[in-house]
Amino acid sequence: MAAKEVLSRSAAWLLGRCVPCEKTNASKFKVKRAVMDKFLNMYFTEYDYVYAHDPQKVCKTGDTVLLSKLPSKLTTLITHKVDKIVYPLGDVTDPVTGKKVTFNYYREDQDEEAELYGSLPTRFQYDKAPPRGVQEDKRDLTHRESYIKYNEDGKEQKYAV
Amino acid sequence: MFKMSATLQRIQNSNVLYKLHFPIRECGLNLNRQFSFFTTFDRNSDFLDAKCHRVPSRSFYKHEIEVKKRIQWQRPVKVPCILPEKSGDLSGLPELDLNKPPPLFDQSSEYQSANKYVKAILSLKFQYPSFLRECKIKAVTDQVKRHNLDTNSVEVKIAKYTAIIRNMQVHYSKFPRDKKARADLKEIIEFRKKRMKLLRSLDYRRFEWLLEQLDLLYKPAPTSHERVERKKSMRWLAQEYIDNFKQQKLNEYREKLDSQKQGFLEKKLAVMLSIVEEEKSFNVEPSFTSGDIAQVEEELNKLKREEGKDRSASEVVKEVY
Repeated sequence: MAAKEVLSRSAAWLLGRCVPCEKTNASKFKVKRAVMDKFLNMYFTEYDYVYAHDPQKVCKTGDTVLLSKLPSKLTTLITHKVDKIVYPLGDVTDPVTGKKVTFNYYREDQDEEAELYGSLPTRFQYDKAPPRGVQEDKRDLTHRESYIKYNEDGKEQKYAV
Repeated sequence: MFKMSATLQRIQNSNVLYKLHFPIRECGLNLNRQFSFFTTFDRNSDFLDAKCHRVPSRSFYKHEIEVKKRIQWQRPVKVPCILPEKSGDLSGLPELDLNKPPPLFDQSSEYQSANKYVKAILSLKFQYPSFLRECKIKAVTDQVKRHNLDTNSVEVKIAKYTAIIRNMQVHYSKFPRDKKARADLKEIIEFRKKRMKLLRSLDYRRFEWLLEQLDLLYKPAPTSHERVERKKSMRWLAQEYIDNFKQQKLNEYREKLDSQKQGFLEKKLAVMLSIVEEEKSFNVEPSFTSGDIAQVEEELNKLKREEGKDRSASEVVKEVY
């Protein structure tokens, strides 16, 4: 059976969500597409997987990224390149005020509230916290796809569930 | 009318078969012969010949032995979801000082003015287990509190769940027949997992900080839920074996080519120099500039230096062992 055709590969601009990928030079993206069913006269969602050239591995799992098409294909799979990270995962900015947000509170307001109660040194401080990726491959294993363990070979299988 | 007896008829039939059979016997590789009446049932007949009876083929058993030499599959032991290996708790609860009083007793003036026997009776050593549990929860939540009255923030909730989970895991190891506790434990682990998932998508840096503070391991859920089967696993393992084998062969070939590099460059340099000399003698413009020759020399020197480094490194290793 022939493989399913990836229609999104021909698009000039794409908005995709980064998914875990082991390739060194590229990142993998999940792209949402609405497909018309003419019989039911209705749109249904389908997902395509697109690879984009990303030598520095700027994109992390879960980021929403704008992709632009390369003038010529790098490989059979890599058709796009990373243009810009639109929404990094877990680092939300309010588009109206430009302030940083967590859940449905401004971060400033949360800090202010803590100070009014008498803040403790144990609390999390945004100014001192390092950027995302400190616990990658140590305690946070979301950068790789996990699988159900199917063989007992005596070695430690880090990404097996 | 002449009627043939039964015995005579049988003889005639066998004769017919005998005549039919001979041409088949002559053509050696007739596959139909294998499934003919004679070969399958009448084994002791004269028509059979060992040479053209059966084509030797590889049996399934032989194939299995060949595979077992290369790939071994063992079904993994199922780990219950309530154990710390699955729930992601890398460490246990902090140890309590049993000579200390329960929380908030410290601050009362009556306790401070009491004599040492009263203090000893009030210490955690003689308190109910529920007091101990509360103390453990407090010890864990104190690591992540924003302020003294913080009981409702996400990090405190997750810390509280973590303390309860770890306490219950200890309880379950002592009383494995307590099914109620087991069910509760599973539920709380799932609560915590959900909170962690939300926190990750809404505030990644705090999520990572919390992992470090509480000593937790976060694994994402697998995208496809494949059943563990022998045949499927063997196919995956075979693919893995093939990939590794290919990579090994490629690496060997690369090493072989790399080892020939130095000799090739030396030869190249000698040929280049001889050509230039010959061209000079005939007063022709040289086809290689000094830059080209210098480039080759530089490459050669670089290779030699790298080789020297490798040698010195290997010598150090030899000394150590």
